[in-house]
Amino acid sequence: MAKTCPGCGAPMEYDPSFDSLVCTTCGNIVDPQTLPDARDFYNESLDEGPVDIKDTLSEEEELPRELYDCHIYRCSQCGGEVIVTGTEISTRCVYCGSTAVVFSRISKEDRPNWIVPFSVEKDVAIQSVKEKLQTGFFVSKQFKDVPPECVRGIYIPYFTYDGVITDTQHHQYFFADHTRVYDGYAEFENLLVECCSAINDRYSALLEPYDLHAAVDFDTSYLMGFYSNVQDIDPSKGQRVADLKARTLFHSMMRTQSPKSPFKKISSTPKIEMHKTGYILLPAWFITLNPDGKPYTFLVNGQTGKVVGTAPWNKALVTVSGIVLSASAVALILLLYKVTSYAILSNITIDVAVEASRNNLLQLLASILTNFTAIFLIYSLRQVKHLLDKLNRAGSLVTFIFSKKRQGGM
Amino acid sequence: MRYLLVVMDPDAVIDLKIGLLVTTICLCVLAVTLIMRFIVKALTKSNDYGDDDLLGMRKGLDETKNIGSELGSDLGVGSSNAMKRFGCTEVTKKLN
Repeated sequence: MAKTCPGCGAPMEYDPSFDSLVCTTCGNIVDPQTLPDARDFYNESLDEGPVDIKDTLSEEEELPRELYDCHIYRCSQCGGEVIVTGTEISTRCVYCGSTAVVFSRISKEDRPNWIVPFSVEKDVAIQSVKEKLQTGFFVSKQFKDVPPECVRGIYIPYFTYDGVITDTQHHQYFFADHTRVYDGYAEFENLLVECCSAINDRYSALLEPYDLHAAVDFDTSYLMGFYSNVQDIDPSKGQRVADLKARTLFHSMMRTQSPKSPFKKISSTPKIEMHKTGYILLPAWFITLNPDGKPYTFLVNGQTGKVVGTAPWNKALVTVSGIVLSASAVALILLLYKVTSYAILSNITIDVAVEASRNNLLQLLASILTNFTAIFLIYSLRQVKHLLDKLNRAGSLVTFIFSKKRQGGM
Repeated sequence: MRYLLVVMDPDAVIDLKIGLLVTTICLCVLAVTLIMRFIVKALTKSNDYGDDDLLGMRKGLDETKNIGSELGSDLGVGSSNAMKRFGCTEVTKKLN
């Protein structure tokens, strides 16, 4: 499995900046597809170069099921598994940061059809995360200066799906006596579904989009110096996730077709036909920061450099800002209340007040305002919860627990 | 003219005072909520990276609750480029 330098025999690692294998000892640069043992893994011509997935996906069903040898390490704290290739030894769990990582077994795993090699280097990925953290006004000071404790380049396994969705939707408006009806369809190509249970799907989904035109036929040479996850999701579960993603994307487009209204309700019965077309490895950098004993992991798309993650905020700064702004606003409103009530009592006659009371105008106004406030408050609290959820996902241990929940929830 | 400030008839002004008080409390809660949203938006911009909801999938959750889901929008948020073709036609008149 490990690729060795044809010049000196030392282990080689894949270097994104050269798009080649580089000898760790003599610096020899070798095209991975020209190494003899790499060639052995190929079923197709080596002259083809980058593969156009669009053209080959339909032939996936004809491909025989192939396996390849993997060294699997298991974290005894969180249970996460990673494939380690070449001569590297895993010393730290990429999910929870624990050092309790032990060699588990050599396993034969399903061979992916394609791989998108890393094109973002380790230093660039670290710099991208640092820039984000240093420019964030509310980012905790500890995070601005701390060096990364652990950086790992990991290939994440994904299934790809193609398919079609068709639907007839009824868009109803609460304050209108008619319903608009729409026929819609959408075609999907290379819809990605992450198929590793150790990574939170909500987290890994943010890494997208990947440009799959850069995919090449899978070769173990590209794994040198990186980790690779085990595909452990049942394809039927992946199918359900693909259906859900396709349906949600489709509805997002459909809802924009009718006039916007906060009082719109959409109902439909979509027909979805999605089918798995392949298995691909996509690159991501996992960068763990641990300034105060709790690890937070940021992900960086290994192809585009997109940074994903939520940094803990400076609690003192957020609290003080909230209290100062809230106190100022409440004081202003109370002042307005004093002024307004004095003005009203000075200018409204008792007859008008009695008439207003009789017609329940004030009660109606207060009721509308109360309901609006309650709805607005609930909606805003949902946004707060959403942000807190994302912060929790960045905490590696919680991320792993989330991934376990996802297994039961799908 | 019998202005309320002069007369201060309890029966006449009680509804008015309660209404003003409720309105004021609601306005205070609204103001605090607005500030909370402002801070959440600032925090999202400052501390939350990579969550680009280009299609506005999360905004439409309420109106498509019967067919969409929060999980679906979270998972699909980065996959908009997988949709290669999309077509939509209004057929309201034809059906009617």
